[in-house]
Amino acid sequence: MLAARTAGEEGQQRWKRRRKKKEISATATAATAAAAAAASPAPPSEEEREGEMERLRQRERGGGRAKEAHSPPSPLSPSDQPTQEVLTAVFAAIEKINQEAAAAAAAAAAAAAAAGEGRGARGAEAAAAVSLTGLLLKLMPCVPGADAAGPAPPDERLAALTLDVLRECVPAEVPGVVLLSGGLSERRATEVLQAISAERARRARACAPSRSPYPWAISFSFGRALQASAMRLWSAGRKQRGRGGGGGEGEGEGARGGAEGAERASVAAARTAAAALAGANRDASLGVYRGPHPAADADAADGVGLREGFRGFRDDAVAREAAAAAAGARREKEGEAAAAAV
Amino acid sequence: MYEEALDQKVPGIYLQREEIGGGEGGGGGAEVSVPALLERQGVLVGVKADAGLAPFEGPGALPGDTVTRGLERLPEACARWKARGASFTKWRSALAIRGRGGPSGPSGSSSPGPGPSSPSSFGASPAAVAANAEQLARYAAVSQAHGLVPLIEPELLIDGAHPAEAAAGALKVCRNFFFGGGSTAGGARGTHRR
Repeated sequence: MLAARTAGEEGQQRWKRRRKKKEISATATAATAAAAAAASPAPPSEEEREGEMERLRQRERGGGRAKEAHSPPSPLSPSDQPTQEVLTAVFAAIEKINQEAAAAAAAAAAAAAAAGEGRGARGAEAAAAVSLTGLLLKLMPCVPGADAAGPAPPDERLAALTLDVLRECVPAEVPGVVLLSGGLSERRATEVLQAISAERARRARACAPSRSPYPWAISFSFGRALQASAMRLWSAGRKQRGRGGGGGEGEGEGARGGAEGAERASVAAARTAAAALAGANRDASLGVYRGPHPAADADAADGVGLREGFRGFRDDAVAREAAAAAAGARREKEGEAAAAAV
Repeated sequence: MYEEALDQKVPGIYLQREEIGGGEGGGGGAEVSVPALLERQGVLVGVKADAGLAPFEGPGALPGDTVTRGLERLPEACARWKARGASFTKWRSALAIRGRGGPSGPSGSSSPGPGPSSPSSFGASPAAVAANAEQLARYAAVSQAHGLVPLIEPELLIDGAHPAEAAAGALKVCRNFFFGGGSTAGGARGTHRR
């Protein structure tokens, strides 16, 4: 992705757009690699699928690990009526999905029986489900909202909160959890990741490895927190070249050459920054990050100028669609009017 | 740019849909094939599988609720990306957290502290939470069916003034929902094992 941007003129613009919309690509790490490597082979054969089905059915009947992993959450405090309300709605929805899936599986089985030997693609489609061992969870660490008042809680507290939630809610089968940086500065994203890794190691030491309640890999899948400094350095060089190259008649080769040199230097600086950021976050995912943080400058480290407002839906895309729909309706209307006139 | 960085530090990178190419949204005109470039460096290629967010307008929706787009043509897209060398995909949904001013219990308990009478930890409506969780589960099923590891991202937005404890509470609800929904969405399609 980065390479594409360096290669293309439009890359920079795209980056600007994305920086605004927070739609930058992100990178994932060891957990992704491990899981992807493990799971990327061709889709399972019919026999494998059937075998896994049977195992799941057994687990559902007989309880065991799967049941434990998906058991309802521990009781909430009585004062927590709001969350209970949400959970009620949530489990009602789960029940609905359950019934749908069971009905679909039964229908598929009946169809297969009716068709004799051939258990076709339709049956497989109906049974589509999710294997917990073949996915990664990407989530926001438990941090205060961007506008939260009062003193910031210590990183240890954020790490404890995050790990408590993970322990309670993420099944052991899930191979990895990657944290996102959504809205955190480059430096904060790394620091929070480091705190979580360190706290996890501390807790893990207190129990036998085979019985750790934190069995998943924890790593990062950052976008901005992995790239902002590099992008900033790189685009500074582009700007300089823009000025040097478009200097007009009075500008000689010297100025142009100087600008190109500056651009080369900025690309080199961007590469170094990218490598340093990746290294810092790798260290943090291993719990051995020490700092100082390699963000390009203090502003980048603290996220100054990078604050975003509502990071929700892409209003540009929605607006485009709305405009297209409106234009279509208008054309239709005009067509009708024209037809009526004729 | 990442040649150095990639060494032992970044084993996987996911691309925007248009960056992996293979039709539907370009990629054809690029001088450099990004997937090929990454593969040469031993980096796993992923794709952002969703098509962005859209307002959620189901029954019970609240202003600001969103769902994620792109589920309709996902199977075809997954097949295309797999053919282009991808090994994982990512799907983002976004949920807002309602600000809850109250301090939480001192024990570090993972349940949210007693808060004021807000209807839930979420700024998002329960209907939106359910809709997003179901989308994530269905996306994961499709992705796995095509041999692509799904990276499921139910992002809780940092926007707002909520304390970290409110985030914890909201996360819990959402996680429990997903893994309930995910594990029961119909048996055992993927047999990928670690």
